[in-house]
Amino acid sequence: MNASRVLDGPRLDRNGNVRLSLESDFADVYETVMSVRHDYIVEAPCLRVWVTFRQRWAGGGFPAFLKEPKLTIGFAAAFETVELYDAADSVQLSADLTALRNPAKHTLQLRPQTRARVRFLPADVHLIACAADQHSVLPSGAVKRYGTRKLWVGSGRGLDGWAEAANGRQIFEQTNTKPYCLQGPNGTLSRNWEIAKRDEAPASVMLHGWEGGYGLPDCLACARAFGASGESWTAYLCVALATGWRL
Amino acid sequence: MASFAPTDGGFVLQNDAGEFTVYTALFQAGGKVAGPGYVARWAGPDGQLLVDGLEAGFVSANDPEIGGIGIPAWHHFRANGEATSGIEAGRSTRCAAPPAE
Repeated sequence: MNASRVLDGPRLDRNGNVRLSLESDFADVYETVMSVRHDYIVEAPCLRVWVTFRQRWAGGGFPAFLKEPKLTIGFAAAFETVELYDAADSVQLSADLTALRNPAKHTLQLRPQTRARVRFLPADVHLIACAADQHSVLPSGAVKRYGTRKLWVGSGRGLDGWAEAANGRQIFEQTNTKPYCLQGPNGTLSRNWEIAKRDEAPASVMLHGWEGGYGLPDCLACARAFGASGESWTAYLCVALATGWRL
Repeated sequence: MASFAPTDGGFVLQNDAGEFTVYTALFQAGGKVAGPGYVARWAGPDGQLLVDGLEAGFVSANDPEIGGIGIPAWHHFRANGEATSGIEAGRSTRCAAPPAE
């Protein structure tokens, strides 16, 4: 991260919600390659945030590639159980997290493609994650209209759209690319969510735009060329306790 | 009801779910560090610390030790013309929000 700025707020809007927008720039050893924008709406029962990745590599220097773009949510609280719901509030998966104690040996994959909400117990923490269309932004930096939300997988929007675009882009190299690297249809990129946990706590949820194996050197065929400078992709998150969540 | 207040290095956003801290720049305190933009700390209405993103050093976004809500991350590569023999120092850089590498 090499620069950051507040674009709007914090301020109370006419509905009594807090608005705050910020942007951070990320650089490698050569130049700035990505800006990430967080646009918050804090309502009484929940915190909602749209996160937008904007690619900024303009073609200079050595070709740039990226693998496994994602949003991570890391919790300090001790969770014992996880439930996964679809957008219609039907349970897709329930799992005991107490046996998940070493992320190097075992993580939990959340694969149902209809997934929309994760519930952690006993704290009753809810996390909603969606793909989203891009905002309409005023010249001042404030958001004029927030991006419409769609399912994380299959909508062709948000990070799902980024993965679809990346499927057709130049591959970095084929090294360390075993069959598990490309789990999508016909050997394409896949985007499961993943829960990692150590001992009783902490735990994290990784919301993958697309997956890339076990770490930096693994699955290098999942590293794909950057898109055009300015290309951007948005995800939506909502966090709440108990019944405060909303899609 | 939602509200906000300034705090050292950023803002605290408050609602019925508790207090969420967002830093506006790389924040360092007591030898620990958190990145800007994402929620680096969440304390529930009963004071329970649900998210604690002030880290003692660089933590990968793949590691559950990381704390935060909406931490952006990816693995980053530059093709510098070397033989395709894996990752070598200087050819790849991991990008993640907290902290600068």
